[in-house]
Amino acid sequence: MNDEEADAQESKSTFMPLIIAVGVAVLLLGIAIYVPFVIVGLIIIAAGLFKLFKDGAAEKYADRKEVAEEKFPLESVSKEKLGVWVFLSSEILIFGSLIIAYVYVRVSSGAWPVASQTHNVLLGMTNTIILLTSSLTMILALYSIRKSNVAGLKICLLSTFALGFAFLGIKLGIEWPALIRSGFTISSGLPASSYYVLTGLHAAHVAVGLVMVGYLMFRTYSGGFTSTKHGAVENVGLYWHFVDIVWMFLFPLFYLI
Amino acid sequence: MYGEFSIKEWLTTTHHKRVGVLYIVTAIFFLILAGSLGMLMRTQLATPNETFLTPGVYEQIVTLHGLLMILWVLSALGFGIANFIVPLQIGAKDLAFPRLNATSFWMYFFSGVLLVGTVFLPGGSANTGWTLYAPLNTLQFSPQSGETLAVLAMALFAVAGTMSAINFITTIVKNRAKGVTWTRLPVFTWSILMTMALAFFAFPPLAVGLLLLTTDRVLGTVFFSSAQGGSILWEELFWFFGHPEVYIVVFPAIGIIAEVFITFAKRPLFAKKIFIIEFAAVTFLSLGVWMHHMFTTGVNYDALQVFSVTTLAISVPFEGLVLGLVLTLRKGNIKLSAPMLYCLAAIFTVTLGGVTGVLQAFPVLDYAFNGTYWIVGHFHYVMAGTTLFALIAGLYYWWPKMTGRKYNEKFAVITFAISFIGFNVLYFPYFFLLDMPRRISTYAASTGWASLNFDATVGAFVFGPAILLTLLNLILSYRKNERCELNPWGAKEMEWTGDYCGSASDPKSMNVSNVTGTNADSLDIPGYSKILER
Repeated sequence: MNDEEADAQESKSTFMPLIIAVGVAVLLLGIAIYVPFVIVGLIIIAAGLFKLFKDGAAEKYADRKEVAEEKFPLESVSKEKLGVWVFLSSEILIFGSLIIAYVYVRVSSGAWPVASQTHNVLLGMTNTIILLTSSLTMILALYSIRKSNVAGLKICLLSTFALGFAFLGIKLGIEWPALIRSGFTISSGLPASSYYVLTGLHAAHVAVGLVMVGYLMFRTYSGGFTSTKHGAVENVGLYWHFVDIVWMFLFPLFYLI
Repeated sequence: MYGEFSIKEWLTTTHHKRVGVLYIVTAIFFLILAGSLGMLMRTQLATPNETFLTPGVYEQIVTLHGLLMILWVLSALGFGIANFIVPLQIGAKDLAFPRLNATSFWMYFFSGVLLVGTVFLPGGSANTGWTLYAPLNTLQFSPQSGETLAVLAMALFAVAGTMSAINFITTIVKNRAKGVTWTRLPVFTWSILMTMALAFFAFPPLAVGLLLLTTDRVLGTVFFSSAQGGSILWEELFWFFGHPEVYIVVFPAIGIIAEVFITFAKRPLFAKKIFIIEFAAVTFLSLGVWMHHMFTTGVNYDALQVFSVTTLAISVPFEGLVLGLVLTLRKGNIKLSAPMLYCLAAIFTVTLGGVTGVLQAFPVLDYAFNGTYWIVGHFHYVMAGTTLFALIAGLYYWWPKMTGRKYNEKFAVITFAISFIGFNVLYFPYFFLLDMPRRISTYAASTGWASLNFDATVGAFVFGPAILLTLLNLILSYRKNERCELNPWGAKEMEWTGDYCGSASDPKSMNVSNVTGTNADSLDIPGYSKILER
């Protein structure tokens, strides 16, 4: 190994995987034993991820040499994009298992409260429209940067962020408090338990999506994207659309039937 | 070795070889720990009415032994060897996402630390058995925070495993060097691809089960404490993970046995294409057999029949795999080195473990055997026999690749013989303990189980130390100064012959020197033509 290669290797070493894992461990200790650790864990994870993505944006880890590779049958898909697709498939399994568990408890329960009497269909519909619109702005963001329209990218990302934020605001700020006041609390039975866990996990995915869109905006403002180099916009977009599609299943399951 | 030893480098590394070594070292640490727990259990069961361990402690030991061995030892050891070997076999510089790989490792590491840490909590660790059946796993019956933390540790393991699966699938699809087409993909890499495909399907449902259990225990949801959710919901989610997990553990073992047979019998793999198709068939079918773990739970009669048939069906391609391995030896010029001996032992144990297992596909027999030591014997023959022996064979086989040194062959053969005898003395009596329930902490003398249990304990005290001696052999050889030749086995597979792997047996090499540019032809792979010929 010559010096240049040693340097290349050196620059790829990073404490961040270790730090993120420590953060997760502290977070789990918090959940199981002492709640304030949750905050500490989240801060450690956020710091680790921030550093990792900052270095990533600065292309500190970029490969310096190209290698000839066999890619059949996925010649035209970048490895990042393939990784995102495989990741999203595992997410399908997560939400698929959860929805099947929900259907299972609902079928075995026999009596189940009428959806429209428990949930505010109007608010749910509003949220559905908001989330669908955010998918539109997300795809417009990709079209903008493909045409080198950085201003368009900024506007679209900002609208996506605002719409996602509005979704969470309506859900966590208006819907949930009203439900809890009406006695539909998390431990009041399977209808409430399944509702809060499924929509809660979905809301957590939206929140993670907001962080990702924030990261895209951060990189846009530092001039990180061009018409040929914008893989991150597309990949975050894939995730965002996925979260949107999950809601398309949750909305009818909880609000309509 | 591995350059100057520097703790910082090991903590910050993202290189697949180093991460692989980290996995192997951590898994061996957990192996020693979980093995010691097993010895404690055997000590307790050696004589009737024994009071060496209290029932409460015994239950925690049963749980930790099972969880650690299945997830943190056997799965992880396979992942570790795969980390080291797969990129070399496909000529990749590294995995597709090296930092994600390092994150997977550290999450695995800390999940194990959290699990072991639960024993220090007031109220003790999880004591529900490794299956954590509902509603025993709810706050009402297991109020200790150790149970919650153990559940979260498992969830973290599942997340780390899913991340590894994403990483390996992407790597094998996208990062093969020019010339490594699908038809030329080495069989160990195929086995890892199948393993990861299964991990990808199996870990998310487990994560969901654990998520629901966590919200039950922490936030007060009622999934597993209510009659409408309850035990069946948990078992569906758990065993949808649990059965593929068996193959997640066994597939790398099959891959290793194939590589070792090819090398030490100097024969190509028998009918490789069919072998791969059988692999795929087992992978596919293993997603549809989970309910045979639930025959006695009162699931409906139709489901019983369907899953009985699928369970019988999966044994066909699996026996095909074993047959393919055995036929590889035919007309071979067999050299009985230590890895070969371990692999032959693994074939013996998989036959016995498989035959005793497939009987449970018949619900009638399952009703009789369920929850007895017959079952314990069956899965220990597959897990502690086949898988552990094959993984040790893998360590011996690739040891010159990993360290540049060769282990002491005579020492290895002697420890193999001791451990094989110890293994059979330990687990064979279980097949005669047909009426002894699993997980009981002691038994009365009038049951007549005492002599067989004593035999098993004697076996345990031979098998356990023999495994330690095996590890000692590896460690001692690694401290030798004398380096072995680059390809001591005369193996033909690409991790030994390809010069893109760095200077073959030099573990320091970071696979960088081999990358000679974008010109495909410049990546000449010595020995490749021979592979094509066979």
